[in-house]
Amino acid sequence: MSYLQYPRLVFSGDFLADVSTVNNYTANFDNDYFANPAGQLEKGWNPEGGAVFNFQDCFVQQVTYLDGSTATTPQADSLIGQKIAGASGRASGKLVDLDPSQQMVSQLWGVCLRLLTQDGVLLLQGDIEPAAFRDLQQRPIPNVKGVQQLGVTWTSRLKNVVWGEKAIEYRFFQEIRSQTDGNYLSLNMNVFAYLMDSTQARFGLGRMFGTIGTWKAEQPVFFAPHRRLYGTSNISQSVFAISNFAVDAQRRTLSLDLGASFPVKDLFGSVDYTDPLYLAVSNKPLTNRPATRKKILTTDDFTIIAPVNYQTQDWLTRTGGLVHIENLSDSILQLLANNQLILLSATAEGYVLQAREAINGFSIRPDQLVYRLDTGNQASIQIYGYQWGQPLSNTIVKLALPPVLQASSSTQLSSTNASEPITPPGEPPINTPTDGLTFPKSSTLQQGKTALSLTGNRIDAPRVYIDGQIYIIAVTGASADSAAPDEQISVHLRSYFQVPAVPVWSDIAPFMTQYSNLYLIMSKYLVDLKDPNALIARKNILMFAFTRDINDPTYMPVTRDLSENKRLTILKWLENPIIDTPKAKIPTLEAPQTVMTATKPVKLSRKQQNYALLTQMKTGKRPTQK
Amino acid sequence: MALFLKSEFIHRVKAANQVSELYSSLQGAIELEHSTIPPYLTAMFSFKPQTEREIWGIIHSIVVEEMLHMTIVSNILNALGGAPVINACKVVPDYPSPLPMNIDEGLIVNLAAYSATQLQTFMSIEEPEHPLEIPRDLSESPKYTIGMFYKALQDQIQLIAPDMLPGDPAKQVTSPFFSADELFPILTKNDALRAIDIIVEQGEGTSVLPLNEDGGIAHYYLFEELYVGRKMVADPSAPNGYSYTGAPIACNPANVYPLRPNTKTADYAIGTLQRQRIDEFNTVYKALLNCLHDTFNGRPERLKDSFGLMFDIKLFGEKLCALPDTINPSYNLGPTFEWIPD
Repeated sequence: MSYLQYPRLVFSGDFLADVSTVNNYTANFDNDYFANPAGQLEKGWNPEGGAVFNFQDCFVQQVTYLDGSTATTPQADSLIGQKIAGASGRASGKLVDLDPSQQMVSQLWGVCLRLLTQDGVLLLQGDIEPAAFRDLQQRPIPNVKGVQQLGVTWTSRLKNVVWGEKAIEYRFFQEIRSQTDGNYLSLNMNVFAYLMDSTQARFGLGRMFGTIGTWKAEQPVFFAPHRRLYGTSNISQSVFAISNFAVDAQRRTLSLDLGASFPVKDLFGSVDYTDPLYLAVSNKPLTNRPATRKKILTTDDFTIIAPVNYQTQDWLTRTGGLVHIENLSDSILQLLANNQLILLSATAEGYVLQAREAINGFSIRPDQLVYRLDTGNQASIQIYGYQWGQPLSNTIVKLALPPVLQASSSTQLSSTNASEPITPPGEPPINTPTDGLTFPKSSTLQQGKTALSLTGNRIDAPRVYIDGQIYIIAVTGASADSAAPDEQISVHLRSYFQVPAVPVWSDIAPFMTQYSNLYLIMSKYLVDLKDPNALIARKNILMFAFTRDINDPTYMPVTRDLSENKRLTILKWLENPIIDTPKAKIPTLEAPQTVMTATKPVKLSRKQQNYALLTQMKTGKRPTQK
Repeated sequence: MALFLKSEFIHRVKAANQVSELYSSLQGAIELEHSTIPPYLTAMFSFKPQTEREIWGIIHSIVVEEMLHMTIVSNILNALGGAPVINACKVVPDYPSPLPMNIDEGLIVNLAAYSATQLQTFMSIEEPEHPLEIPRDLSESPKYTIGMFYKALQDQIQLIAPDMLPGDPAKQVTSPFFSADELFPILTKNDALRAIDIIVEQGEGTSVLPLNEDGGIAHYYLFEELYVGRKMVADPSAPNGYSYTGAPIACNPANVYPLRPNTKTADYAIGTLQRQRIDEFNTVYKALLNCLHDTFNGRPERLKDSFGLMFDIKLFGEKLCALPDTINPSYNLGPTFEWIPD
């Protein structure tokens, strides 16, 4: 059971994301560079963002009942047209990046979803478990300035589900409540057309197609445990790149979600496609890569299942892009049991392959994509694997830390002379030191699942001015598929830090100054975090914010990137604030800059030797370089 | 022009024979305390970021006390067995508006940028029964002021309430952000009487001093400081021992955004950036009222959720004030403080 099965509910509308952008640039994390008047700071398109995420003008479009029938009008079911909204009576949720070096797994934190009648009566409420972007794919909107070209998907689980008193009056709620496990529901949100141009009315808004369905124990939380369809068509347009689908042999149904991949032509998700589309089963294995050249299939190559009836402009808004095919024949079901589903467009040249199922029907994916670890923290990585939608057993999955990445530009000392132009510090490498994390290199799926332990080891500021390190672990298994997106786990391992016995201002000044620089909204409107006296004046509210549960929308820091010991140090300082005299300034040294590979020994420059020595002096340990 | 209440509100209090007959009066007091906060916040938000921090801080301290008063009255209503209503259309005035319980032709309160005119309004709201003359003549005929209304409530509670109040103690709201001297659970008649003293003194001062018992300057005189442009200081030569002869408190008008008075959602078309920002603001405002309603109706632990919303109100409010008005280009938008139905 999942959002792809029945019963389910489709909604669509806008979302608001007031993300902050100063922290999109690694150089801005360098306090000295930031403070240098000669620096040419980049602050992005929304420097005063407050990280707020919320639903806006989202309405129920259709419901599909347990028996597969669908209601699409308020006359058929008064649930159609009712409203999806965010939290009531608490701060709205937040959307935050993991790190400037990993901005592709932005997570929702503290987001509540409510379904209300038009009179504001609560029917359903739940808390979205912190979900990260997945399945990023191109979703260009032609002729619109400042629009994000990528669409993404959040799949998650609603927990703490509360049913309103009136919910019992709706057939849909009766059914979904009886089918789902515990106080949980599954949720999928395909988002795109996010506008980043502050001169336009829809600035900060994007479009969303959402689906709420059932959730079953033993299933992944952050993706639907089904099959996958990958785009193979013209790579420059990259349409139908990633879509999820489920085949239900018992009910003889096929359910495909094109809501994340269907081409759109405007900010509202009007369809941008004209060729007839068909779903079919391939009669032979296909391994096509995404390519510019069209792949024409002959009618011998496939067996048509059904057309995709998308013809109206507002088809995506009304259906969320969910294609629902019933009454599959025995022969189609047999074919689908171990052959690839394909999506074809009918053109003058013939049937063009637009998308094909994963090679051999494999889908091996980590559930949680993001981990935040301190020294000594342990976590469990859950990996699920399926073939043709069935759980895999005796299949090996591999975890690997790819070579050190992103040492792309040379770095220089920040100049302290305002008259000299200065170069921003370079992009620090990630995935180093490689002994920062401990995890098994492989594991075996049984009944579609395996769990691996992940431990964060002590690291000592390998990126110097950005706390901790980003590790991106590649997850692979079964066969490679060039059309499939990379499956990765992103870890922010925080630098080793001890809580001082009696913290003084200079113990916390470096990271409080950094927050002040990066989150202008705090300094401008609430409290200048780099001013110890301002912190003391707002001590009570700050202690409140720094002691919230991480799932609380008011948790500080909003980015959730502070190690526990640094958080405790802030609290300890606020309780007994001692402002010491600033120490003599230590020149900012570059992060290790060399393009590092796993094999080549690195010759340190003089600056790097200084950095290594300094690190050793401060921490008793030389920075690890491999 | 001072803020005078309709006499029926005083009479209703005085006519009460049982505590349940005070519920509507206490609800009126909650609405009244709440109604002062949007105009005060609008004045604060009209300052450009990080400017006029001294004045900002003074108004902020008053807003905090108005929130305290709203909390105290809600606690009293709960203590008497009633149920405060915070999240309803009727709680939110449609500015420009008289304040709740005010006589119809009385003071009309606007949501507007900080100005001498707004300060006069604020002083009228907080005006004591007999303002102490601190080198300034402001003689009005004493009608029914807010202070008199609270005094009547106090007298009536004294008269008709049992020593141990009937409400559920679990509904009492306290907060680590207020001292236990100011905000305490109201369980007995004496607690209720003491709590009303706090409200009156913070707003008006004691009857002989512009200070409250803790030595803080009462709201009326704080606003008058801003109006006169000087701090109030002890001055033995002055009739009441104080004069506005202290350090100057100057406001640079260039630091104040020219807000469109009483900005309304309906004036801005759906799909415009202005409407977008207004909707965001009203959404947060409503969420805050919903949160407070829960807090005062049996879920006091939800008070903590309100702090994040208060931050958001400020954030969205100040961002709104920085946004040019499309209807009249000489203005910026003002915070709307409207109750928008779901």
